[in-house]
Amino acid sequence: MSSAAEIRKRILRIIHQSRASHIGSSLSVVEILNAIYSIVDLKKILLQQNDRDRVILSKGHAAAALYAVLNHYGLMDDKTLDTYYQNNSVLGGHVSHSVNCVEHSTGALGHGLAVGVGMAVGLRSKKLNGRVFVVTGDGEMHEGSNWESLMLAGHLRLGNLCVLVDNNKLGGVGPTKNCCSLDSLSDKFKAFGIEGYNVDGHSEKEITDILHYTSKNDKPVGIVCHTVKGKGVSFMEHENVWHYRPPDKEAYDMAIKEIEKEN
Amino acid sequence: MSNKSMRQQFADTMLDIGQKDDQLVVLVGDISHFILQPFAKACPGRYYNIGICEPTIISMAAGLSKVKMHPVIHTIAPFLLERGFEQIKLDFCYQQLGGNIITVGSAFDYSNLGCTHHCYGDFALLKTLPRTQILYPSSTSEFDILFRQAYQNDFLTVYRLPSESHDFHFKPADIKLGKGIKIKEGNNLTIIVTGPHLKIAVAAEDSLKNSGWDTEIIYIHTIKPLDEEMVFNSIKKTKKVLVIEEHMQSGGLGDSVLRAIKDINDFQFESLAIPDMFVTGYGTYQDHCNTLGFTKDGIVSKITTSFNKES
Repeated sequence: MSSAAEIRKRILRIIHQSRASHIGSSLSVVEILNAIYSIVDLKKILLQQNDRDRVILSKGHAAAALYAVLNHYGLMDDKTLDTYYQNNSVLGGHVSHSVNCVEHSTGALGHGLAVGVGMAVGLRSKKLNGRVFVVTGDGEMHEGSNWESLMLAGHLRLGNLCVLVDNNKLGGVGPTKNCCSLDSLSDKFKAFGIEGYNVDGHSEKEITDILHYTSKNDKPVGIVCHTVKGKGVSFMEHENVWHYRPPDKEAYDMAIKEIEKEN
Repeated sequence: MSNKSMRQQFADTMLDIGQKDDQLVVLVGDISHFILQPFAKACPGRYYNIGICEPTIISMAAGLSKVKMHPVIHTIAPFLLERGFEQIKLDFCYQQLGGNIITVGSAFDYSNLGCTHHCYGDFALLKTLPRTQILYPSSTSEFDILFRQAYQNDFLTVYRLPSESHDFHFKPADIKLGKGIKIKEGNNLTIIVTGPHLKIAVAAEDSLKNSGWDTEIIYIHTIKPLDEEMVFNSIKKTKKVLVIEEHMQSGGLGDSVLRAIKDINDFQFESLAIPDMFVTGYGTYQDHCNTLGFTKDGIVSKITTSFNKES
């Protein structure tokens, strides 16, 4: 079974157990997070070394995906993962800095990229090699603070910064484009002095190829990852009801069965 | 007496510390750019004029704090503190990060520019956030000394720089973060004052003395954490207190004083602050002070109409 399938099963399990929300947003970002964590130096992250790579999941409502990925890479134990959403757990419905190896708490959208800009400036100032990876949602790109940050990232030529947009094209209640169109995001990146790319957001190879190719960049990188909300579970794909609805026992069993059959 | 402006002192302090501490980094929102050029030249890679984007300047500073630098954010008070409130709350306070915000445009300092540039609810806003320190240094040496005490700690420290100074010079050893400064001992009235109005409070004390008031004056440069012990002991003795602050009457220093003295029996409290209104009109700073009663005569009048010496 592929690592992405394993991660999806973990996400389904903890969200089903806890009757939590945001399953669709978590399933769409799996390959993006998996690609990032496959290229970073995990030992440096575990030891919190100053020159480690930094990962910020700015779309903090996909916390289940980040935690499942951390678990997959040995940065979180199984016991902790299974406390997701429980009283007194460190794992809540949005990403928290209280969790080992998590850089920054997110959940209020439009914060992560600006924090990432600051980290990138600081690392450069200290002549440290770490890169900063910020994952946003497409709906999150409506936040004005992101555009302030993109302006600055391009202006300051932050080659150690990479923003990846999980472009699943659905917001909380419907298509993102119905609120405000985000067409040609990669062109918008380019206009801000950022190297813009479009990839299949469910192809880890396409993502990692760009991450490797741009590792010594002198400009920031913006990767629009075209994804499917609810990816991997056919009855959840493109169906926005799964933004909030937790899978019941029947839906959970069907989803697990499908993932195991497909992989 | 120094004629140096508070803003120039800020630039001088940054330069001096920046040359010794390579973790100090300064971000400005397109103000004070020229006076900070000595810092920029002496500390390459640690000065950024990032333009007009207040939410981002705060989050960016949080990112710098995350990589163990000591960020200083500097621009006009309302835009940073009111527009960027969520960034302060979540990116600094919630995540327990240290940082420094140095504002200009205290209260109605930008009197001629109007209410868009005023900020007189900052104490109230910032007091609601855990892990904040609120400082109101109103002389150049106070700023320099308090900044050196606080800038490396893991609180989000806000320094409200006024355009006016109170012109008093304290012994450096008497300027301590979180501690009040007793200007004068007294027995039947306490004046607690913050900001440049220490000057008029001291001037009023002369007139009050002639009317039989033996006034104790406490100067507060640290709004949070407040020196509750000094406040409590003084009012327990005098049983009457007037709090003077260029802030909305709700949520500011006066409210903190009331909380500190809740266990004292039979005290009388009055406040000389900004009532529940916008300070409209486009006069000078002094025009607004005259209108609102921030004058020597305003203080005397407030005390003589509010308190009875015999009660």
